[in-house]
Amino acid sequence: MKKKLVGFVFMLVLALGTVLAGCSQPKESSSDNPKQEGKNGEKTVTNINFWGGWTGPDGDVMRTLVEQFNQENADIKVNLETLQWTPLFEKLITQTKVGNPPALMAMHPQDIAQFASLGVLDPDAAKGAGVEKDQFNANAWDGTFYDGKQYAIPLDMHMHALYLNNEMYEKAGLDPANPPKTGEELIDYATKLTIDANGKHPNETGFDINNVKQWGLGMPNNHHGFYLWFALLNQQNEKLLDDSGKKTAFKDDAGEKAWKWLGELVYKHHVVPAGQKAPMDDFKSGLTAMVIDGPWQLPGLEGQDALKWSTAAFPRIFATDAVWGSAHVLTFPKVKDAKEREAAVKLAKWIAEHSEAWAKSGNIPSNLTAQKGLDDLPGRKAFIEMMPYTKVLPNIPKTAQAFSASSPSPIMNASQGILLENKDPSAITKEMRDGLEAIISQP
Amino acid sequence: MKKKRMSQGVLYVLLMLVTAAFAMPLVWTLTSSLKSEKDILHYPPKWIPESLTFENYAVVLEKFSFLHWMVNSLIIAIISTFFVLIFNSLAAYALARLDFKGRGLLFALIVSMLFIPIQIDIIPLFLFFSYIHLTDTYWALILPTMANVTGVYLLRQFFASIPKEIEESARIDGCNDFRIWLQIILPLSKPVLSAVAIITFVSSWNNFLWPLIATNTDNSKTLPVGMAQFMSAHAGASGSAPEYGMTLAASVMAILPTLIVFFILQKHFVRAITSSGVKG
Amino acid sequence: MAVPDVSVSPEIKQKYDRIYQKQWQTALLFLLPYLIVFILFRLGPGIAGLLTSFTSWQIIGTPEWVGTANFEALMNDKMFWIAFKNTLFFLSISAPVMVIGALALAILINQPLAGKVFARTVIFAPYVVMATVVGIIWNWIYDKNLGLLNYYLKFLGVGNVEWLTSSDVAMFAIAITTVWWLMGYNMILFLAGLQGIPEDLYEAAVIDGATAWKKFIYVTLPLLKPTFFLVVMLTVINCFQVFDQVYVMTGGGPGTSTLTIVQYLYFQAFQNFNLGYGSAIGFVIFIVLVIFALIQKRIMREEA
Repeated sequence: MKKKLVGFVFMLVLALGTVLAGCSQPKESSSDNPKQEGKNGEKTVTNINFWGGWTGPDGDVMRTLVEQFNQENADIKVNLETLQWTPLFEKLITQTKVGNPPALMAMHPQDIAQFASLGVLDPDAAKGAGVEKDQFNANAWDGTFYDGKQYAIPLDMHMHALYLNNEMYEKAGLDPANPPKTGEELIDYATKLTIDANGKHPNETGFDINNVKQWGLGMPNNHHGFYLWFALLNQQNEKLLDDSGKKTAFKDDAGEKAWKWLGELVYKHHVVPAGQKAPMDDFKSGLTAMVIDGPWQLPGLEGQDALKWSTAAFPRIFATDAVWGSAHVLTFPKVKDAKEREAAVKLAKWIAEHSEAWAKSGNIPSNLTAQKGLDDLPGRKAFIEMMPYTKVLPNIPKTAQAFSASSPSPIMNASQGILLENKDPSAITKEMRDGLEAIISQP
Repeated sequence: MKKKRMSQGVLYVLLMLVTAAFAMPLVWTLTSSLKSEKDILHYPPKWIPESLTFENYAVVLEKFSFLHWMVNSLIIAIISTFFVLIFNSLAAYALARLDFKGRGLLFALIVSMLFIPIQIDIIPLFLFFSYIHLTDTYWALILPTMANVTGVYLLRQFFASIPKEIEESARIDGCNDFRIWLQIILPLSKPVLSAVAIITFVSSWNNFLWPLIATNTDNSKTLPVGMAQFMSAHAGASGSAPEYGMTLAASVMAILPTLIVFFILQKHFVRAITSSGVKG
Repeated sequence: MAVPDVSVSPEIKQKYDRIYQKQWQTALLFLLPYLIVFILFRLGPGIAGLLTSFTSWQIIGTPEWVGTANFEALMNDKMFWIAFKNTLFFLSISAPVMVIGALALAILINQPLAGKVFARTVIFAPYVVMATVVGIIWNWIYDKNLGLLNYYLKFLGVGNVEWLTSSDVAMFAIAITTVWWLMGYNMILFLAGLQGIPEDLYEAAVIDGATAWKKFIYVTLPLLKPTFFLVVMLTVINCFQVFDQVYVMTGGGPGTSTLTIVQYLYFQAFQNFNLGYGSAIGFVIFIVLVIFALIQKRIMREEA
């Protein structure tokens, strides 16, 4: 009996030993180590990681680009990782913590402040790339700076625009080549395009809101609803935050006016369906005649052969032209190896120069030369035209908290309060201001 | 008798309804994965695709190291499940059937780890693995799964409910605890062991947050992390238009192995014990 | 189970002591392999995680001890309390269905019905679906305009329900998805528990002329009680830590109507990179669940 007990213990130790011994094996085979020296020391290949949050067709375009770069540059091997932005940033932080960040990291201009202030990004790399201001759109160029230092190389811009269903336009006696340019026109067109089961429009008596066959307009009601408001605020020549980035700067009535106008599209003019979850899906399936969305939807629309569509600039609702936009910029996390950084700079510069191909992803290249070749791609023109007046969110360290795309988020709260729950614009404006200031005023 | 047949019939209809309701979302997943991207969101919903296409599957397999991730996931899930069954059932035996000081306290300590959200111990765990240079290896994914708590909890509960009399004759015959564990308790516990095996396998298979942090390369990447390269269903739309077809095709392929494991193990859910053994 | 009564002669006491000690040694052998991995990979990080709640730590850099500052801030954090309330509401609407529904299904499927293997597989199958895919499927089902659910509800004369875009309905929608996703898990636990009920007890009941219902009330239920308490405990733990399905379906919206505690924790720890604060939220979750476990233990003891 004692023997058996000994045998039992022996077996356990063996099992545990196998586990612990096995631990060290896969490590050696893993290509965790970014640098691999050539056998004779003649030719060295620098392996670098490049991360970006492109999980749709945009990811495919970038993969093709990276493949091309790898073929052209025998001494550098780039490994592209795509992942949703939030988990990607999570990985950026944890990998930085253990000294293994990617050499090139895509992000949005408003993300730079957070990661720069955490000390993740290298402020000196972009300077060495030899890219010049006059090669890029000015808005995109400005977006690469934080605290007076350039942290990134601009890649693209993406902003809201109006997508139109050409056939529905024609049926309603409208011309898709002559899209709405003002707020009144937008409401007018959308009213004509909203039709209930009896063929009535929202401005006619007897319009049955519970039985609408076709809606005039679709628009986002998540954080993008706030972006719409942000555009309308800028159209009134108001700024969201003051220069310190610690206080809101807009006037109450300007904020209220913008929210009121947006809410009325749904609840007064009845041209936008309440409670939409996926506005672009509604547009694609022929439920809505227009939709406000970004250029990342372009590749998906190009695959819809049954749908005839076109794009138009975001209308001027108030005094001046302005539209919400963001950008993808290429940043350089602090890597230990100078060679890796050098390779990353080379890659970033190469991508910026080849960003004409990146336009297939829908995003509009920030590089001015690359923009010129886009005319034969459908729908890009309206976006390029908006480039000069595209407004990006302020670059503040508290971006992730202040402008979060998921709850708790003062901007999502406001957007959904107006667009989903028809709340009072003045109360919402005040609540949003308080929410934002509570976050941004923190040290 | 007639009444019995009727109540049987009612039960049957009920079961069929529930099954249909549960199946519907999965049937949609399967049929949609066989549609082209533009047909997936067709309205009104179409259950049978007009033209079948395996393009989504081909794209996933072609463009990504899908099979590599799947092999990783399989190896990790199988090894994890194997060790969980042994380690957990040994520990559960001690906690259920041996008397020692501090037993209750130890059990409470183990179970209390279920109360800590995974999100807060993931960073310390990652730093620990980085310290022992084991990130981006299979072991980074296997070892934490081996420390499974639910398994101990379930097995202890089940072992404790097995009547003490059952082992008494064995003890008189001179069996030690190890043999009682191996030859009496384990065979009696097939249903719960199968349950623990399935649960462990699935949670290892679907685990996302920890593998996301702990792996970097295709060498150790598991399916959920690999698939995240082209999946975007998260509500905070991040500016990438989703590609449903690829995601759905990949999920169908990812679901199949676990369903096969379930199918193999589920025969143990039929009555394994015909008698409590107390009878005689 | 308990330590034997030792108010007898010293001789016998000594014998018992020896057995007791031997049991302790055997127990250690049985426990050792598990305890090693448990301490290294679960207990250690768990305690470290709880301790992090007393620090200010942005993951980058080193943690700085701040005492109870995080907890003080938490008590005055409006968002935390909203999340807490939402989570309790979610728990109260989903946990009962998940436990009782799973029990009913397990009993139903345990009957000798044709096609039960198929039913069992189908009801368990959702559990193996990944969170992201759950999001894709259910976002489509719940879509107000193009969704499957509203399409069929229309034939029943129910108007367009805003499943995920109305703050009154969204949490119910998430609960329905949760039941679909995770009930199979509870069901197999009950099934395993049902197999542990000795057949001869049923036989004896039949001899006594018990009906199916009586068998259920007097044999199945009492003997299933330990499994029942276990399933309740695991369900409460799961529901109280609900995160994935919220994250992929509503992101906590509309507004804050489906913001849950773990989502808030995730937001603080991994979007805001305020790990200390996030860990403090985790600590509160830990405490609440400990309290729940103690209450359940008390109830179990009284029942016994």
